[in-house]
Amino acid sequence: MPPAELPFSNAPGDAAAPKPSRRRFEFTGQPGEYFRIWIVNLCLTVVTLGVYSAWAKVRTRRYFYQNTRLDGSGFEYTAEPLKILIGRLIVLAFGVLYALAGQFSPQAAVAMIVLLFLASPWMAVRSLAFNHRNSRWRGIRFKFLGSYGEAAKVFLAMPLLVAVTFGLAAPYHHGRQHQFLVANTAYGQSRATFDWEGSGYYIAYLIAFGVVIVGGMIAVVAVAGVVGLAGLETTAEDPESAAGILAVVPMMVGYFAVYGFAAAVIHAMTTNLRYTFSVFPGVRFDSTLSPGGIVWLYLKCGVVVLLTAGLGLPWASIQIARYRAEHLTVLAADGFDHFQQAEEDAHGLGAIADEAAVGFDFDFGL
Amino acid sequence: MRVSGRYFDGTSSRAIVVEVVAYAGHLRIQGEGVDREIELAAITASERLGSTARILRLSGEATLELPDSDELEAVLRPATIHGAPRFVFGLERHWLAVCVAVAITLAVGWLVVVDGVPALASYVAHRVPADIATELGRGTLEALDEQVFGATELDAESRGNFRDRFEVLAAEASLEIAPRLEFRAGLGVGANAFALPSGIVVVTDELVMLAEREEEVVAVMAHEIGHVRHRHGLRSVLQSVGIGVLVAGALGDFVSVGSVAGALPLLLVQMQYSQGFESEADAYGGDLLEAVGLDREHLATALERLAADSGADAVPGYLSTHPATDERVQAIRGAAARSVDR
Repeated sequence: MPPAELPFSNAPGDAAAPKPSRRRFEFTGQPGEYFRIWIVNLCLTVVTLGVYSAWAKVRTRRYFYQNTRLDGSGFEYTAEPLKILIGRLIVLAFGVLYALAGQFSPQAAVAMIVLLFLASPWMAVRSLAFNHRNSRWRGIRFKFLGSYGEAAKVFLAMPLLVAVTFGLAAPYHHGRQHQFLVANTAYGQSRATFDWEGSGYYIAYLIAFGVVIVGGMIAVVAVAGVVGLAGLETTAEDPESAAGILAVVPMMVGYFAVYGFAAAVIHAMTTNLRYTFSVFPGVRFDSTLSPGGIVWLYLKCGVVVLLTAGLGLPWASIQIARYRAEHLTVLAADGFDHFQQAEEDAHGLGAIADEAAVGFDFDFGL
Repeated sequence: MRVSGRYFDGTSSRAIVVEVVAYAGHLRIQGEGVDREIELAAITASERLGSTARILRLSGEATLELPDSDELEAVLRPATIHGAPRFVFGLERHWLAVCVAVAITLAVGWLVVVDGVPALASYVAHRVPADIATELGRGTLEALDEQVFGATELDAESRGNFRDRFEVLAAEASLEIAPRLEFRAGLGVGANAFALPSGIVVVTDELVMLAEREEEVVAVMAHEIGHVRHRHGLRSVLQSVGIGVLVAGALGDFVSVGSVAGALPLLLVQMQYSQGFESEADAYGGDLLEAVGLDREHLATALERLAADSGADAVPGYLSTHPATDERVQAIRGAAARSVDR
């Protein structure tokens, strides 16, 4: 199915320039199809005691890449499963050592954490480089050009700045991370630029802060109401603990509702900003995520996954990928044919750092 | 076979529509400005995956994108496949195989979690030499002293007395890892007792105060020696490492460990493991009491007193690290009845 070509509505009135075309990302994965891939992956992983997980990872990622389509072409993921397996074994060894150290020698565990902390910029750059290098669109490779030094500044030094400013620098840091990720990305020979300003990030965080304050007050009043009503019916035996237990459930619900919505505000608005500021030569993006849409999507998916005891996970993954693709549009000034392949670097990047980043659940916002 | 596809020369992002014909072990690719022939054996093709297109890597950087079909798969026999082996796609395509996969996954997952991990942890824990186990646990008490306990305020006479009674139990048990007794002020944890992997048994001042008879404290010590005997400290560490590794390593792609959906079952499983340990320690502790000429009823009394003191059992049994006190007390009294019968 070729993507619909829509008229470019907000083009400047320059009649001489060719009209840029506006193309929407498409996601063509199907829940039923992906369920079968997912469960066979899971089964083979279990039966092979985890060895197959590396092949499963490549197959899963490939499914999502290939079904994410732009201008009729899917993305390609070319990582070697064997490299991922080796990376996993190393991460596994480190994880086991850390778990044992944590139980028996706190000093050793602390030393390992420090080591991990200091290695994190290296790991971030390596994993980004591995993933970019193994991603292609129309046969042209992506590339990550970030340096360890800049990664150390963004991921180690700037969090300190955020801490000493009591979080006032957090929105700036968020944008700076986006800059690090985007401005160091190249598609073939075309390097992206990220001309950004912090005000949008500050507005997103301010709105989220407002949500927490207002939502928090509403939640406190609501919880007090529930507990008060229940308290009237509680008999003399142990009123304190009964009220306590009754308060816990609505408090948890309130907590997740308020913080969930605030997180959705930040996620939706900053993702939109990230795409607005990202420019490849001749190509701009337009992302239209909405906080309400994100909340509804994750709520829907969470309920389905819980009700199906996890079997609904593939369905949820497809919904999320589809939502993201459908809210991202590309504006190309003169089509997509002019990109050129870059020379390949000689050094072979392994999957170790990538696996380390996944294994210890570091999310760099990719 | 004749099929149309898209050709990318690997130097530019321009898509060229091509006609592809397969014959005698070769592919002939023809389109605007493209006319090449390539041996099938020299091609690397992406694995078959759902209904996605096949991407064929030709010599160098050039790629060819073709719609997937059984016919194409047959043509690609001589090509190298990048990714999972060919049979995987066959499994995904048949609903029967998919149903079997669901069943196997659930069954194996259940077996591994309920029997496999505890059995493996027990096997490993009992084969760790005693001196290494002691060495490994050296730092644990120091860490607990810093974070949880205070210094004991029991008088020396009382401590000496309990120490003597503990030695009687330890001598009767005659374990590879020699149990050692320590007293601490429990502070936050209140009336409680702990067995550490190094064989150290910690009894809190609050527990001694709470007990109405000395034998109740001795009974709790016997229970803790049961933990030492069965190496529960080491086993629980190994089990949580095992389960964590399983979830993170094998299922990391399928369930995010950080998500509640992943963490909750993990917690429940570990609580079930812990309940098993408590029952094992109760049984051993009861036997040990009888072996030194005490009534195992003291353990039942002590448990009931501890439960009343902490207001435990407010949470349902499956949410607890310890089995419900009623069940434990019944199990101990049941064992007492059986030993009288003998």
